[in-house]
Amino acid sequence: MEIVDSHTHVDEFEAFGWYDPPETIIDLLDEAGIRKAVIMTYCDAPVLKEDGLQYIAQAVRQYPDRLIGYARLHPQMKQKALAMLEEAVLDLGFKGLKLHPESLTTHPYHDAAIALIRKAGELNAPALFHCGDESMSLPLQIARAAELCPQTKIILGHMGGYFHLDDAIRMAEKYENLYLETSATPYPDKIREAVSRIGAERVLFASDGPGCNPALEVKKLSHARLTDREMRLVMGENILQMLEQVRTR
Amino acid sequence: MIVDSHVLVGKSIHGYELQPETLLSNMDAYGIDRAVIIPVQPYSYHLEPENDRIARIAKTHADRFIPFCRVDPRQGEAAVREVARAVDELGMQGVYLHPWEEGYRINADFVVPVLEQAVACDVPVMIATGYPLVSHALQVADLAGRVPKARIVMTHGGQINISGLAQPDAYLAMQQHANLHLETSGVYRQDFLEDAIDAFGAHRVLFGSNAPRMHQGFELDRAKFAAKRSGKLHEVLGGSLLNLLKRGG
Repeated sequence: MEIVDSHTHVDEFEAFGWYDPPETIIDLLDEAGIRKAVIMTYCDAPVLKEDGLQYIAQAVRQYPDRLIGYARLHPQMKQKALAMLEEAVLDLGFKGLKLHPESLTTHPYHDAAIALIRKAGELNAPALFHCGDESMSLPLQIARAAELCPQTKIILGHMGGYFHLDDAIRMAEKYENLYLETSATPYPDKIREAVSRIGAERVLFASDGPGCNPALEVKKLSHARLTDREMRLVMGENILQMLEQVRTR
Repeated sequence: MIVDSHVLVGKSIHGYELQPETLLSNMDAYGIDRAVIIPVQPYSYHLEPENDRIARIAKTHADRFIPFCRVDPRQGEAAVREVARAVDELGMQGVYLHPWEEGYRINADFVVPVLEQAVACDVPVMIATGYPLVSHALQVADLAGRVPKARIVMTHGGQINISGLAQPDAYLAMQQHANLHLETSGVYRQDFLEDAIDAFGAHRVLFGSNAPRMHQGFELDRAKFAAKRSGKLHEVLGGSLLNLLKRGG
């Protein structure tokens, strides 16, 4: 079974003391038996890191068989952000958009965010959201974005965090373009419930490494009591199939 | 000797339930020798009969269970008396406070006498920490500063934040108050636990699962992964908790 981690980080972020060049995640992936990982920065380009996308593109070039890039962007840069996403996907081979609303101080359904999510949809690229317990990252808020952008696949990273998993699962039942991603949330039983309620096809394994240990996150799935078929889909087939559909120039 | 320092036993009005037979069978499956068992907030709301029940259960399985009592500090003198009764008459070995489930701010004035009674009884106090509005790490730190002789355990690594943004608060609390300890359940980032063991000592970090809300098997995995780097498995997985119990016994 090929395991693909759909949410990890490569960045050097002084503000929080998180220094994670590509070698850090590669070592952790090797320890965990994970073949490939989606990577993104901690910083929102171009605001805190002007060359954020070049940084990720460089990391992917270093490890082309292992790493896949998502563009973590600031929607309030409006036209510039839209252009950056288009360039990232069509010219630099990026496969998705990442939005962290707390970092952006921008609601998921803000016009600027919606424009960027719609652009991702046009490119057949998914939009991965940080989705936890915080003021602007709640499942019910991101669901509004899913409603407004039915052509875009929207992934709820951490599937609702510590306290909002029921909301996340309910919204994924309501909106077919919502996907639930397993990183960091400590409830393997909820992963089982999510698969039962929305199907294994819309649940994606991820670690949120290096902060969360990828091998530990893989272990978490072993407590979720999934069938072999469900595991194959969740641990890699779903994300690979999704990313194959992303447009190229 | 593996000791789970944090297990709730009973039928909670918050929608979870764990009975001793199931707990013992899970402990056997995961290789856990002993567990601290803690009362839930029951449908009747009254904690005293739950303390009686937990004490009885612990007596029946004296080699497996370590009973803690649970009180609501808003009850004033009655809560203080209940701590004394639980320790002196029922043989209970710690106090558990859940400011979120019961509904009070952990550093309110009326909490102090309960901690002072715990000090007089020479038992540790475990506090459900990281919950919004009522038990941030710095609120628990404030309390720790007011009762410096109290041995206090902050559950969830002193933080419940899936962006990792409460990590600096938990770290600061541990730096400023030597009487604070960290329990490992649900902690978002592994490096936080690893760094805490290095910076504060393994004797201040304890394995706990918060079962049944969190998954006992996965939380044991988490604690094992976190203690691996320092090699201090023996302490983190049980030694630290046993060291915190009544000094006389």
